[in-house]
Amino acid sequence: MTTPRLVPDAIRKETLLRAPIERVWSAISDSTEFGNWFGARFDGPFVAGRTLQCRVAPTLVDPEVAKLQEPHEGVPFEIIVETVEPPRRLAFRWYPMDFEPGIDLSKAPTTLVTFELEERADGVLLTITEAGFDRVPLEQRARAYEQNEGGWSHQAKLIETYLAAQG
Amino acid sequence: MSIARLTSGSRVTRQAVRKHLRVLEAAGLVRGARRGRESIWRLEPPRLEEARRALDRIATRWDAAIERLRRQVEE
Repeated sequence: MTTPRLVPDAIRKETLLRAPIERVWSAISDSTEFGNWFGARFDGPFVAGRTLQCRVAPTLVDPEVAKLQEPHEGVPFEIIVETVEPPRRLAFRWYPMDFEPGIDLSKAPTTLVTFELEERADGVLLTITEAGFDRVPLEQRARAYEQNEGGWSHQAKLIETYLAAQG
Repeated sequence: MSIARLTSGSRVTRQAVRKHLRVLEAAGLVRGARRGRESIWRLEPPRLEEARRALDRIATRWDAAIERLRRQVEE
């Protein structure tokens, strides 16, 4: 039985990128390119069915954000690539938060991150969806995002501050 | 709010509502208190707020990542 939706179970973001679809697809589907803007290093290409070991790395596209990411450089995480359908769809699973060491990750809930590309007259409509939050226990969400000093919540706050300062 | 009030006017059975409430209680979103033969249920706003804030933070992270992708692909 699923919990009724008092809290959304997915995040959805749409953006129009003014670039050819091949360029956008490359930035999404090539793990090195993806890592360059996202801010991570992957130990292999995005191939459906593969589990990749990853590490946080400062982004190459924005030196100021990179500086903010530096404290978290090297933090390891894992993704499981689910779908690679050029040039329209890529999806992977990951664990949406940091876990205590020793936790059995095979039992931990994952979220599914999907990138969908749609060619438009003036560019590429990119839709990013992260889904599956309803399966993440609230205690875990609250603990990870409220109290985790070294994790993504801290990083998100720094980025918020950076973005706010840009005006 | 009691289960009687929750189910009045709807086709959902009391049993179904009770089951839903137990799931929500396990998730920390509602709290039930016994009052005589009935249980009275109330929402737990702080937990809902925490959950929403957690999602907001993740959404903000994605906004920032999208801007970095834009820098990479747009010229």
